[in-house]
Amino acid sequence: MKNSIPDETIKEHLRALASGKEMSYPKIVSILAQYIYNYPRVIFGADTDRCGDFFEYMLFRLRNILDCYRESEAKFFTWFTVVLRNRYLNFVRAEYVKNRAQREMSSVSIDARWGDYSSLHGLIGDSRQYGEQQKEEYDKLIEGIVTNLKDRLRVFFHLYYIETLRPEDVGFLSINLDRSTRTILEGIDMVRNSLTKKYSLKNGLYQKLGALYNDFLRAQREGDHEKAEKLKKKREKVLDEYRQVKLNPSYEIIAQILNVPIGTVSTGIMRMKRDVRRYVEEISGEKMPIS
Amino acid sequence: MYAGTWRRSPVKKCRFHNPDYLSLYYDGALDEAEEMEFSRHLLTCRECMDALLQLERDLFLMSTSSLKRVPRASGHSNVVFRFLKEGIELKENIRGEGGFVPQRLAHAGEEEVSYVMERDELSVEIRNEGNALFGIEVKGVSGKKVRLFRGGRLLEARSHIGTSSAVFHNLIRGTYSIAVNGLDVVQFDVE
Repeated sequence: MKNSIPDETIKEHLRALASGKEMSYPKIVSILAQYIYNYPRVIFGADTDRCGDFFEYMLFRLRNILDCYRESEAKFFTWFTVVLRNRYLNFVRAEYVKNRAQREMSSVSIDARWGDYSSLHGLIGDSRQYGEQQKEEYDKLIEGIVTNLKDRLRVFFHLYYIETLRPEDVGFLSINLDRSTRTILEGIDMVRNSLTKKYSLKNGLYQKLGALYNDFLRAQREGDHEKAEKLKKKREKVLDEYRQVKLNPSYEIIAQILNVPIGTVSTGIMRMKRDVRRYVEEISGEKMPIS
Repeated sequence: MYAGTWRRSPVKKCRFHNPDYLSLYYDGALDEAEEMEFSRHLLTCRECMDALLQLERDLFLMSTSSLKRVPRASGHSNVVFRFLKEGIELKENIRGEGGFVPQRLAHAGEEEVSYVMERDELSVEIRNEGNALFGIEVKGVSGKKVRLFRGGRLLEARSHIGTSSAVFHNLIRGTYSIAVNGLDVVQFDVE
């Protein structure tokens, strides 16, 4: 992983802490603080309030968490990231139970309209969801596309639309390409690395969407319908911008991963898109613009 | 009808699904036999595969996104100074050991106190400059970027190539923090 903090530095502090040097603890907190604080924002698009709450939640538990760490060949941040995700989900569950009554009272209406998509990328390019109803439809769509594609073309689909990858797809790639899961994950990481700038742009917009959604909910709760309507329109504009950033990797990187000529990748992707478009038109009953 | 109580699922949790195992596999640190066993397991366990896929994505996003600084309100600052007639005084050093320690300076015949905190190869010194102003000297920052924040806003940024210390003068009361190469070194309040 590409963290700026050397693994050995934090492991040294952890060793010192384990041997009873309490002075190491504030140093570890300083090193981890930014990572913990930003995790909900970067990964889940949470707002700064939630980041602060989660940070405090973690500070209370950090000492116990670090006590569970057993030094190994694995990088500390890899281990800590797994822990952080589990803790964040626990935190969200606890919040969910706490706020259930309040949430049930608020009415949310952010529409997800299939008709707005004008390209294949807009339709299947990203699994991040913005309205709860959309998630189920999206999962159904991906499942439909994947089961209707021939295995050879499905490989191209997964590597080209990297954001749609599901656990079963990694399993499929592993079997189909006869490579270990770890090798497949390395390939996925290679694809993502080739898209760093686009990811950064997309993440910025995603966080903006999250903030607008929260403001929209607040305005709705306060009964300020005019403001809610304005925020909804603004959000739609940002959503359009977001959809326009395509996270499609270059043919070269896919060719490198699959160890095939670029021409094979180009033909494969073209055929894959043709078949996906055919399937989408079949289920929606209308023609899609070519893109 | 069953209602009102929540019961834990009777399904036993997968024995591989723990941070130790997942991180060892992800970083290629398992021995060959264990790696093969886990690879086989992954093809049948959606939970573990999902966790690995999420881990890959989380690590990528966390390493490529710009991280915001932790705000003061998150309870991360633990040193408080205050101005007195005679100079600056350390009011609270919540972290105790490892925080700021007083250091006596013989200055133009008068004795003055400054406060020094040492962390790794860095040292941060807080000095009174008179007229309710103070200065900060950060030593050991050769070739590093030092940023000084007040109230969460960037006050000054300096790239120190060749020189070993960064000095900031004429600072007023406020909540300060110092970051070296993007890492928070210390946060403190001056009242």
